[in-house]
Amino acid sequence: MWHGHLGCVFTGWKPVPRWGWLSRTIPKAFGFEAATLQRLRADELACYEADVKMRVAGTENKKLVVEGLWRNNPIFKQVLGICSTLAVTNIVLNTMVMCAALVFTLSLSAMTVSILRNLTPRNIRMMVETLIIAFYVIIVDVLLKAYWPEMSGNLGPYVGLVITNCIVMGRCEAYANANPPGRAFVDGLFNALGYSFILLIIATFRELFGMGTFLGVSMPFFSGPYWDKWIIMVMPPGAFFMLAVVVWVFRTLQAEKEDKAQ
Amino acid sequence: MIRQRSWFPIAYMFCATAFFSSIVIGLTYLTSDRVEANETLALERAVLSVLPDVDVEKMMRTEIHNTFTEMIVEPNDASGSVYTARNDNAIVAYVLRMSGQGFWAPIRGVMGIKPDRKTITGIAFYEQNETPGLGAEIAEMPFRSQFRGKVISSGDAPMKIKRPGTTLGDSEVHAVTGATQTSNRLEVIINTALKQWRDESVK
Amino acid sequence: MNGMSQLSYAFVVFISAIFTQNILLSYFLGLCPFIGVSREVKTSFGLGLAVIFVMTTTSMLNWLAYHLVLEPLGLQFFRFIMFIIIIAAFVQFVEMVIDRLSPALYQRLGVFLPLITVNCAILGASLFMVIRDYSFIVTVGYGLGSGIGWFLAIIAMAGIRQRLANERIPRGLQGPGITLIIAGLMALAFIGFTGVLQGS
Repeated sequence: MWHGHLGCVFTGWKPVPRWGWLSRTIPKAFGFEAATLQRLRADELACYEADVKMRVAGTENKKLVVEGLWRNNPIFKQVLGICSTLAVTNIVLNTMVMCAALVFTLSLSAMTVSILRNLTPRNIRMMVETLIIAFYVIIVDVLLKAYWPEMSGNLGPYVGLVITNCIVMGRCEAYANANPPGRAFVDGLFNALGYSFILLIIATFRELFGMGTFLGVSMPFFSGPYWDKWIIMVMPPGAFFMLAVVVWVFRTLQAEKEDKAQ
Repeated sequence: MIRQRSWFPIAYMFCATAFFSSIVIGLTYLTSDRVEANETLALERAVLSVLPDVDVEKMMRTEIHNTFTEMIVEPNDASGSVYTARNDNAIVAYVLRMSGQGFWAPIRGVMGIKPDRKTITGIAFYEQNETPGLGAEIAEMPFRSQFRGKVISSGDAPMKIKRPGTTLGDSEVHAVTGATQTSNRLEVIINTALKQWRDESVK
Repeated sequence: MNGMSQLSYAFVVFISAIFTQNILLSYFLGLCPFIGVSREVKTSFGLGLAVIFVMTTTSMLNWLAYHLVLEPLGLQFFRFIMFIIIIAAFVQFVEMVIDRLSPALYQRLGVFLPLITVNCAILGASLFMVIRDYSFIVTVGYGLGSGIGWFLAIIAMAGIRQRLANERIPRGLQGPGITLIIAGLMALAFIGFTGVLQGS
């Protein structure tokens, strides 16, 4: 007996699908033995197919999460799209707002591009993608100017530069164009989150070492008399060095994990 | 099929642009009042903060606006291009606006000057985006409080910003440590505004 | 805005855009192709020249578009879309022209042109030009200076990386890691240019 996800039950041998892509991709992963589906009744067959679809979908979503956050992390693996945000990483609060803007833009743009993907003619698809991304970015810019003007001034032109950010464009072009809206949203969301958590690490160190505060609050040891503030952390070279260290650490961890897995 | 027609891409682009643009335009229109109000408030707060005997930190939005309208007179022929702060018909101070290019973005601020047109009552900034912890320190009290009581000199450089650690004259203040570029630019901004006012007053 | 004339201000902006306010080393714009393409001096040279050309012309075009079209209509927030469209259209146009006029030049430079459209430095230069409210002649100085500054940075990086090609670099640092450290050292060095010209 075999219980599927939907609570339906199969009697008899564990089935092996015999149609097209299912027979190529499923067998080993689900540990099926060589038996045929002809032993299943019609309702059992329907149940089985739905079950397989859900398992595949589940792994697909989980795959997106892992890819976005770790395996294909935009910053330390792909090293893309850092230009627009590195400048604001000297203060954690600014970085948080910038990353929130990026999460908002990337996930919603990916979803919108995906919704329109069947309607958009091939030859103008890049222009349409740019239009959609610019739309969400302008919304963020307008809302910041109205409700948080100091932050809008702090972020300066870098909010607008999210439009040309290679990650946003890259995910829309590579993934959202060919996948359903839900998946595109998840992909965009987790790529942006993977990007954000690295930037927040960089920002934490820069603000802590360079100004002795975190989120504007003075930290015990770092703002005291025994710590000479590392001014370089607040200036551009500090951003480069910090990013290099973060890339080094995470890539080494990743390489070790991959070595161990083999 | 409509999608195969040759005019479809252009029509599609046009419709998409129109759709997204109208949402953006609508949003901008809805928030434009608020954006203006924010900018006015920043200016008013800065102007009030350079006046002696006025404590801006304790005031709410509406109080700032009311105090501003009560005390401040717009630039007119008598004062030149500066605001005049009056209290019961006596001039409390002149408030000079200055603006110019900083390191990252424009710096805009105000400087309060006593009726003798020489002594400074204070300086404040309502728009600056210099490096936090470095150039941005010009907007903090330690730097700003240096200006109180300083005298505008009549030479070619009304005010000087000097390296920290040097002895200061009556027209000189210390720069922010490590923020050479911002300090240099600020000096130019202050002197340009002061010289312009001086030239106007002479006429 | 300043006491000096627009032309001398343009010159100061030009010099500072190359050295003290280098668009790549001080403002972090244009990093993706910088890290990706800077392995060899030859390719970097081609890309750098293309960037200089595109940056100067698009800054000028964008200034015209902003001050003659968007401002009078009160549509400043459209500048993002408008600038990108102008940049993309201009690059497309240049690609066609080069291809028509000189296939040899196209072989050397033309392949970089699509790469430039997504170079944030180009859009960034125009956005800074708007924020700082430069006049036209100053914008020319700024665009040209930023382009040359970017070119200088990528050539220097390529030269250094070519020499490092045979060195033993830790695994995690290979590629982008060491490039970023070099970039940081270059940024540090360029800060030393502060004050080389009065007002820069």
